[in-house]
Amino acid sequence: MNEIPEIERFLQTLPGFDGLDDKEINSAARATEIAYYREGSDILQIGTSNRKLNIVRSGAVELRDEEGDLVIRLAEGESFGFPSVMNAAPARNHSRAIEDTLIYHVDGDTFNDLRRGNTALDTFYIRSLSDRLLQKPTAPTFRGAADASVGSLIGRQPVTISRTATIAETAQAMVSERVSAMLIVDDEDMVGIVTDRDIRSRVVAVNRSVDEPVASIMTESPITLDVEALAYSAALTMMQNNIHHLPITDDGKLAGMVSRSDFMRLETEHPLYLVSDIAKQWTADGIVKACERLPGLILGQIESDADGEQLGQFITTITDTVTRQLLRIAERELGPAPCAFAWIAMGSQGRFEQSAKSDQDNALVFVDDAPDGADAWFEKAAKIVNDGLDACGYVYCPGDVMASNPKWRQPLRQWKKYFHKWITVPEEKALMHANIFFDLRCVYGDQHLVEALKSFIVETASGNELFLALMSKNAMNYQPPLGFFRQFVLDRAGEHRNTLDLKLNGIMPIVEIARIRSLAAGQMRISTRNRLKAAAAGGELTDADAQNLIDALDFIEQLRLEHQSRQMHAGKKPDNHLAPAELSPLVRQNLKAAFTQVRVSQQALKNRFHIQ
Amino acid sequence: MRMLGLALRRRWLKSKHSESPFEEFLAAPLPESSAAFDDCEFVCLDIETTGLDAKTADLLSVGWVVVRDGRVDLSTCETHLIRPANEVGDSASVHGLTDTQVSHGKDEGLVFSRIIEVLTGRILVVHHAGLDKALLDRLCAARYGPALPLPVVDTLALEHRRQQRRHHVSENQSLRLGDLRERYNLPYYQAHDCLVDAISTAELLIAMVATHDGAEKTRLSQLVTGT
Repeated sequence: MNEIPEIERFLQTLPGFDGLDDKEINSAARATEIAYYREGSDILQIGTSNRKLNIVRSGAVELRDEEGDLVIRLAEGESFGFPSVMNAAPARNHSRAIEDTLIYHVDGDTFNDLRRGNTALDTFYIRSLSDRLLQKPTAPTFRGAADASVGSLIGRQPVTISRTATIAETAQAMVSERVSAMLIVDDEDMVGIVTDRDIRSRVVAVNRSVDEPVASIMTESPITLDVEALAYSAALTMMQNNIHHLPITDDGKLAGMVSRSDFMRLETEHPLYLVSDIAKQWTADGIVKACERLPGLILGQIESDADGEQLGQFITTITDTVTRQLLRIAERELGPAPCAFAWIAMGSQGRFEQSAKSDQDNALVFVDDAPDGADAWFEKAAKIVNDGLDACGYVYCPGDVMASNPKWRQPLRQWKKYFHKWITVPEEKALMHANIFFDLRCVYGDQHLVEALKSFIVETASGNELFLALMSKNAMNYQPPLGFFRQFVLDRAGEHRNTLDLKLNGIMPIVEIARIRSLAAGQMRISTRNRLKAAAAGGELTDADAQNLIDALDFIEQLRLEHQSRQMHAGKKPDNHLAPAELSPLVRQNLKAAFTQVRVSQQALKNRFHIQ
Repeated sequence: MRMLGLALRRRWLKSKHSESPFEEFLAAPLPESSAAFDDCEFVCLDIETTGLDAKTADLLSVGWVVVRDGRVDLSTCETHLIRPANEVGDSASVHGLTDTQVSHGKDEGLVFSRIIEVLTGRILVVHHAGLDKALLDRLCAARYGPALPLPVVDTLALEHRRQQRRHHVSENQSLRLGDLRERYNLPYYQAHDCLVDAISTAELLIAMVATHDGAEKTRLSQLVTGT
């Protein structure tokens, strides 16, 4: 094909397109229509269909949302409209030329094909998408798509095949139509569905003949949804039933199909880009800005079925990265540290169990032979990190457990003294505040300092029954509210009246049981699940009890994730307060079972340490 | 007016060319002169030649792009190198094409019938149409008898007319393609081959239409500058 000189040269300079080869650039250029918009004229209206990637060639464009608020201004080389092309959804914003503007309208199908074949292009636009969706902090990710009807997500006519077709014919049609699922029809009635997975598991894996009729391997009467249903409920339906394809009907007749990827693939993948992005920032402001993408990524993780454990690890990884980068910035600003030290994360960050709403708990340990005046450096560095974390949304610890507090910025020998006192001369109240110190983990600096401290803790604590008993007594402070299921009334005070605090009443008791049981077993594990397994291995818990507690934790965390995801979709700040009305009878029953398990384990702990 | 006469002439020519490849071109109805800009299709075209005399110059290359629905449709881009009868000579300094390059070119007649195909049912757009239209007329006459019977939009003449009407003519108001593009806030293009110039002309056309009366209100008759 003929080269199109100036057009291709321009496309080649665009971020994301710079990795395409000449042939791909040519196909993008050939799929382009050029239009000219006078200053002040409209390009796309909200809710209209848009099948183009729109690139500003010259001039300027602004996007405004449905309230008329400015979303972004775009100049030469920047693009818009890609969210609707990638989501197969209508335009979310109103775009208008604010100067005389030349736009390249690149055909959306060609753009999607190019993305499929080119990771750099794909990831650039996936990142742009999450950036664009997060432009306005109150507009949470994929709200536009979620509020739309599921009908608006249907991209093409349903792909069907008769129930009398053979398996081979069905597979061939799936390849030529480039679909991962095929609807099976009898005349016009849909009678079943066959997916890639079915061909794998019901044909190839069991050596079934491909000449058999497809009806023999289809899933009969698949779950369907009406076109009027909200896209969000389609997402939920697929999640709850663990299916990836959902046929959509209009007035009982087949209208199309949506798949999970239709509205999820966009925000869900590549959270690691945020990690590498943060590690490139050399100012606190830069890190804060990079972190603005975090809520969208968390939401994406939840949508893509991440469980509580994975999500905790994901969020904690980001916090660790932010912490490390702030320390590198401190080292660049203040010069190298005067002696070896370690930055310690504690509490949920230490346990790799942070949620969408976490404050910061940290401390600093340095070597015993630190030169005089060394603390001046650590004080300044701690302030940089604590302030930076706060600016990123990890608010200051209400109990002032932070490295900027001189009490928690000490040489190793002083830390050993602290722990020695907590363990050997335990006081109930002091321990209550100290328990997060037992969740310590080195995030930056000299790992050996933290390991030395951990060994000291285990040696001192295991077998110290009085200490463990007092810890256990404290662990009874938060009890799962079983009465809740009778009266639906819990937190009677303040704005969270009549809600249940999933963290305080559900997660924290399990965390505390795990901490005590693993210390009693002489194990210095940090994450709750590992602690429970270690406790079982050390004979402190039965395997069944450990597993039941892990299951209970999984369930409560899942509930919390779904609750926080709903809040974020609604543009609210995530919290731990669940209103009983949010629960379906089935969920309520499961939650009751989880809480009962926690109660039983608390009682066992009481008995183990002879607490009255 | 002019276009009505043209339609009659095409009908008469068609009766004479019922067996030739010219037939389809003549048979295709032209848009009404009252048709809106958005409803017409245009072929924006540029030709590189060996000289400036339409009687003797050879075609070296031709490039075009179609404008439809008011947009420049790059999927329609074509460029063709043509093997000239004579040597490229001094003209190489203008278009940069060498004898060796054009010796790989296609036969002039083949390219011309492709041009006729593309022009079928469409309006020709050229910036500074004089020489290019004269060349196409000569080729058409040589093959089929008559000059090329179709309406032409000359973006240069169009701008000139507009300036005169508004008493905007001043010695400094250049009508060169690059200068006009700048005036309509269109990007600067470095390359100058016939396809880039054809696209440049197409962008200028849609910019002029959008700027003056808008694509919906502009009628074809307001644009046609000759036949």
